Amino acid sequence: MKQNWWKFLAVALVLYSVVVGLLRPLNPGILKVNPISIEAGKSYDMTIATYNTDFQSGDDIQSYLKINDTFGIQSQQVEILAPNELKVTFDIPTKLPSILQRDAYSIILSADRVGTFIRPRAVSIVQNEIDISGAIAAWPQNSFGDFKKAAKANFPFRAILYESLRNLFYHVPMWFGMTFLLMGSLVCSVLYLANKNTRMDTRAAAMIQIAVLYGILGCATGAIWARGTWGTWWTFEEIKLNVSAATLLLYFAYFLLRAAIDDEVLRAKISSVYSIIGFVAAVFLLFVLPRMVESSLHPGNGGNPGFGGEDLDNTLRTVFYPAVIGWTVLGFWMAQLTFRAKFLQDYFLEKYD
Amino acid sequence: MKLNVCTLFLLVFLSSNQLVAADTIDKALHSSGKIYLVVGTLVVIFIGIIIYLFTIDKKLTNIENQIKDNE
Amino acid sequence: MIFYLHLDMKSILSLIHLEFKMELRRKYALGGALLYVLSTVFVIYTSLQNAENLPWNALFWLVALFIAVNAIAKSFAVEQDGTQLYLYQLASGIQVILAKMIYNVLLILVLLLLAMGAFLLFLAIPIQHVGLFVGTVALGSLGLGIVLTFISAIANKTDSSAVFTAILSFPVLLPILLSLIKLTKASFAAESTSVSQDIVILLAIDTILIGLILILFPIVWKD
Repeated sequence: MKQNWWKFLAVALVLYSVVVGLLRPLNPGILKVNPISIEAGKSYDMTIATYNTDFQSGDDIQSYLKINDTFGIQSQQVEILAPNELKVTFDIPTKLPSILQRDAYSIILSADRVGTFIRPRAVSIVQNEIDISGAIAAWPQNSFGDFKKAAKANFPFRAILYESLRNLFYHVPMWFGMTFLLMGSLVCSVLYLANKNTRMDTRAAAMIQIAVLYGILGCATGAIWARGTWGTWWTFEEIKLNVSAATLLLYFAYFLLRAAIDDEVLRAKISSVYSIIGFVAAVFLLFVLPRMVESSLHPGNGGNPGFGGEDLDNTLRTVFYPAVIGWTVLGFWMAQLTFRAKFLQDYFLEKYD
Repeated sequence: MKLNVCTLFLLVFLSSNQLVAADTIDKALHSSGKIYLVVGTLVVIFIGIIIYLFTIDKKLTNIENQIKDNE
Repeated sequence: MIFYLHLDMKSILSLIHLEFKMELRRKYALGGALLYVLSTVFVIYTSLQNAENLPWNALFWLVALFIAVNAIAKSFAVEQDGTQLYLYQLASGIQVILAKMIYNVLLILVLLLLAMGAFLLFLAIPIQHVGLFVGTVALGSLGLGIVLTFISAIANKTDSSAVFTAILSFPVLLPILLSLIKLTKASFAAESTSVSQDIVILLAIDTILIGLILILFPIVWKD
């Protein structure tokens, strides 16, 4: 029992990431604004559909049309149509403090209990004449009131992703787990070459086996996520998909190489050597190439904001890191079961031979 | 009898349609929530672990047969 | 007559069955063929995708890849020539692999320069930066040469070394190939673009691989 603590740790962390990752709600957000295209100098009734809000009559709700950090208009009135739908009235002045004739501006909502949330570039406004100094003179400065804070911070609301943001805890740890398992197998391969104990090679192969399983699961879960957010199961234009497919091909080749060599010692030697070279290639494929491209849909690659920047806020971290540790340790447990079964098989083969 | 079943289906269909019409916003929210992607992901991972269980099961069966054959 | 035909059909069928069984006896044969097809198509597709609107760029490097695989795959096939065997017994593993790598890199360099000449002749491609293109070809033959030399040494331990040279080397060569395609794209662009990053990456891959190969080859070499 005592030496099994890490298995319980893995189970606890995975369970925690599944339960908390599924149950903790998203922050409120703005789903839809109607109309989305308006003209300066007119008054508009806009309906705003929101997500995860429970507006009740009597709530103090403020809404702003944000032009930039200094200038904004507060809506004339806010009417609650439903717990997740508002009607707000904006009087748009004729002149906007903006040098662009047409631009998209953000909408901010701030409400009791619910907190403050924003939809960037929600409405596009056309102004007929551009008079920025006149506009600045006419507009009140710092027109934003105190924004209300939510009672509790939850997972961030992200357009396009919405609830599927939670896949961060299930899709990404597959790749982290794969990477750590490959590192483990590298260590085992090097140890094999150092002291020629074929058991080390068996360990390395088992870890690669689970790493490949994680890689396939990463591809499959990524395909589902991509279908729902990017609109396609698989795209060869996305560098991360290409490099992960190449890494999987590399380790398929590794297993084929093992199958092709009958002599146990030679197999261990050759496959250890290939897995060391393959690991170097995998590092370049998975970690260097994706950073070299101009554009990528994945965060942290090719000009996208870094993973760990605004893509991973503190509420996500509290579930994401446990998930990574949990799935990694679970992977090592699975690998351990695999090579222990192989040891048993080898033991009996030798005994009955 | 057949007609009755058809009527029943039609009724259910119509009433569900009405329900949907009454609850359009909730439905839109549900589909835009994309929670089904998370469910799909978890199902795939579960299937992966089950596949792993079957492979280890097969390995252990092999070992058991080996022992049985030799005793 | 019918009887004979019947017998005939039966023996043909049993022969086919035997062929099939023999193919399946080598448990990796089917997987090998499948992976060979898969990784070939993958390399071709990824290269074409990365070359964007310059498909001949990807074609050039794919031609280079297959030329190199064919030239090097038999590099470690056991020679019957006695003097060669005797020489190998005298030399250390590091000497052998260095000699083979240098020879193969030079061989591929010559083959690639020929291929380059043929491409320029038939496709009439205007090179903007000749130095960069020739440098890319040289870097390419270095990368292809060292990786394929070592992989062919590994593949030679199996009994179908040509297939294994390809499927073991394609994923390892992919980062090199993609960098080469990027460099080639730059050498045909009208304006100069910064290429130092790609050159550094290529040199880094080559250096790390050469270092590892020099350490690992003696293990593969001595039986």
